[in-house]
Amino acid sequence: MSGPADAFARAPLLLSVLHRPAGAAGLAVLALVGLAALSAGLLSPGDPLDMVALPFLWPGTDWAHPLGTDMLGRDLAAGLLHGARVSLLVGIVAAVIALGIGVGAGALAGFYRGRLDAVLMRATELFQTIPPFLFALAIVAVLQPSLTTITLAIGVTAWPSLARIVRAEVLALRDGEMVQAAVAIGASDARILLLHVLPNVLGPVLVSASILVATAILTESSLAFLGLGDPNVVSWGGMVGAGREVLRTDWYVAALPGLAIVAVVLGLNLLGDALNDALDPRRMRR
Amino acid sequence: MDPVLDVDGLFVSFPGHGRTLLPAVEDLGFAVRPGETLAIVGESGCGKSATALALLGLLPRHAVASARRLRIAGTDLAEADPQACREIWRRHRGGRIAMIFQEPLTSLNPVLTIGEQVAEAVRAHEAVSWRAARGRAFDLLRRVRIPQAEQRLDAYPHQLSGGMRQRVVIAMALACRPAVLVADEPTTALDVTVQARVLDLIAEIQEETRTALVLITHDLGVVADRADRVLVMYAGRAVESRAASALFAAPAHPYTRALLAARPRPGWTGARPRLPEIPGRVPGLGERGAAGCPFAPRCAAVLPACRIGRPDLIVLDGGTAACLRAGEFAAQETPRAAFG
Amino acid sequence: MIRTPAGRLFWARRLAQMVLVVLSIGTVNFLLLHLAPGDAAQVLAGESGSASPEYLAALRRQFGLDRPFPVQFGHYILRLVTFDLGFSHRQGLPVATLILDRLPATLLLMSASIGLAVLLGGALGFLAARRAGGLADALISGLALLFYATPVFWVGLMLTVVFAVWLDWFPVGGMRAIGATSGPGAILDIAHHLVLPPTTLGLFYMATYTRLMRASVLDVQDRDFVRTARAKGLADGRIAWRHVLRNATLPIVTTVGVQVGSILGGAVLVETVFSWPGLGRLAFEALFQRDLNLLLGILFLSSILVGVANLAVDLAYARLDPRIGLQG
Repeated sequence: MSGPADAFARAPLLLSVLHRPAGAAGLAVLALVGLAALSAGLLSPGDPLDMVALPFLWPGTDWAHPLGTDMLGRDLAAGLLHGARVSLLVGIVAAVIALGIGVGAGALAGFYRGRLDAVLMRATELFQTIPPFLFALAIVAVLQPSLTTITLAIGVTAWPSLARIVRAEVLALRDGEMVQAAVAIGASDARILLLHVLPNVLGPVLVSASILVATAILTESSLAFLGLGDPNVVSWGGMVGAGREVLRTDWYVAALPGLAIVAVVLGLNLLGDALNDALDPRRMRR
Repeated sequence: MDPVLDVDGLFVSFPGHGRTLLPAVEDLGFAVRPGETLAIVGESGCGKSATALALLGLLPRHAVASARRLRIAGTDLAEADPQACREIWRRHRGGRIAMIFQEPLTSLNPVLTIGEQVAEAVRAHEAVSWRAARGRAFDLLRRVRIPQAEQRLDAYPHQLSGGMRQRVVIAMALACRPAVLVADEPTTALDVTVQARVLDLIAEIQEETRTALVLITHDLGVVADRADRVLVMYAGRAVESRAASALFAAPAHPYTRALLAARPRPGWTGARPRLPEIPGRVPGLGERGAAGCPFAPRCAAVLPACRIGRPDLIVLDGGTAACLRAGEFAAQETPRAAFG
Repeated sequence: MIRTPAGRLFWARRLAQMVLVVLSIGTVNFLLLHLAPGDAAQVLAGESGSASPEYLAALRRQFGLDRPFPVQFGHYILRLVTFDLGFSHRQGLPVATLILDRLPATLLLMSASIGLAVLLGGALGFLAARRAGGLADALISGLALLFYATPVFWVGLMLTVVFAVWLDWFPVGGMRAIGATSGPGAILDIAHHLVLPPTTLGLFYMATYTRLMRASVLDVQDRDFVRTARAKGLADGRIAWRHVLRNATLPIVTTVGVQVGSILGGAVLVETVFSWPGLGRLAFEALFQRDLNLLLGILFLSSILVGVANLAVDLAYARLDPRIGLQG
């Protein structure tokens, strides 16, 4: 922990992550899903909510619709491709919001300590007491479901644990030589925080970020499953919810989008594990 | 009297990179008779602790250990692999040979009471009820001079001072009247004022029970008036093994001499004295393949010949030493008058 | 506990914390009500537009919505403190009554799920750690990773397909069969219904605890006191049970406390999938009927539930770890 450059001196982080089987597998899955999201418009142009074929076409029976169609004749493959956009978009933006609040609150609390710390930590505890999913559900229900409200609701309910992690790291750094030296030469608080403190908490934040995106995607799909999705876009969770009606006979309608969710979240968790190991070699002994 | 602990040709190695094995202890041998104290001395990294753990079959799973002879209280365990012959070793540990560890706080389970931890040591080897074991635990606590032993039975480790905790560890070690007691740096983690009392307690118990004691330490000062024999280890090998009186009168190996010179004078209470340190450090496990005496790079009395071959053991007054100039040094009077 | 000064301080602090939680969640609920599009009376009436003007006026009076903002806020908090959560016109019952009516089913589901997750997760994590690097470890760790990534509602649906539809071993949903008797038969009946829902909810947390337990055991079994136990000549099984497991469980207990809120959120999904007549199912109904006052009442009570559960976990932890006293 000798300077701000230190966090970046481990620059071949990507390489180190790729070297681990978990990291390589996670990145591969995510790259595939990212590609699906980007190419959704090309591979299946048109609105995925439109009826394009007969309903209840089982997967593999018609190669024009390789994954079949649901009870309204909507192409499942098209739904999955377009759904990837929603999942990734909501997941990433919500995680960015949570990162903003969590890192901000944690860093300020750890850096200034005292009264501000007490206030921020009480707020964090409070937010940890309100069940996050129910909270997000209430916010979306009150504000009416749309991509914006869903993303916002997930973002503002997901940050508390991150705030605690960041606070603990900053508290430890605060008394370190590096920060003390910066204080001694009269650097401003903002400068110290941005240049000396935050770069050094990048590691744990990066690990948390991948988990946050995973959690956000799970939350988004759960909200959509309950019928709190944006009605104008297709979402994996919403597809599962719709498939529930025909579960007894045509279970594939609910099963397929669920598998897509599992794949993305698994990829993110694998990436998180690999990042954790790469950044903290002490844990790699076994 | 026959030795109760008789070790010969002990090797311990740890896996290195790839398929290599790195030696931590090489060709070590020693014997201890009932009531006798053997001190094993050396800097950290010399193989003292690996030796102690090998005696109890407590080496980590990946370690490789072998011995020509490992006779403890009449049973030769050289052929019994600790992984394969678990039950043999289990009965042996704590029953015939017991160990006192360095860190009394971490050596005790934080969530079990003192009484439970001492009693389970009794029950590991004797078929007695918990109630009877608790009674024995009470006796043992009194034996190691723990005041208010009755209440202490129900105390947790964190409620005791460091010295008291170490007494508990000693009580556990004594639970089944072991023939051999191995104490690995038993006082290093304790306050200076407590150290002597704990060592006195161990000596007193040894006196009563005629237990053979293997005292492992980096501090020759601890050893001076307590050991019968001293084994000085360097880089996994015995460099000097002699009767304490002979060794302290005229140390034969330059490493022993350096260790003696590096210890604080007894009775010093002022600011930390500047000790003449031994330059350099113990070669790591992977650096021990070189020809010549392993101590040569740090030795003040090194000769060109020392760098060519490993010095053989030379028989001296009261033991042996592995140095080309051992005879010369052993004939000298103590280099500084302050020892002993 | 309450007799020592430290104990008194602990309870005083916990009480103050609880009051703070009640006030803050009241504030959050109040703000949410006012954030909703349309005026608060319409929100409370639900399905804006369908309510008659007289009904809206009555609601305004009842909730004091015709008064200035700060007075409204004061009123709202005062009512919460007296546990008056309002009236659900959709269900025709007071919100507090509705919630308390559904609470036992949710508590049953949650405790069964947590029990399953802790026991199974603990056992699997322990096994994986003892066989670290081996086939069993790889299998268990892989499975844990998979369940950790699987959405709870989807697991519920797939279990339904396999075990309720195809195999017909368990009922598709509900908590009792229609027309079920009372007595021991009823208990068996509930137990029969209580297999799939807790399994669904428990699997995700089981994955969490498996990973946690594995890491924890690996950490504990390298500690000095485990070596001491071996040096005493204790048998391997005894060391594992008494020395390793006991200490390795401590982080799990902490995590259960942290996760109570999250488990409650999962219960909403599971209860929806299995029509389990609990708080979560009630929340789902409130959602559909746009009965926001009921929804916010559930949020309020759930938060208090989490607060109480955290307190219980802290007390349990203090018993399990003698080093930890009761701290505020």
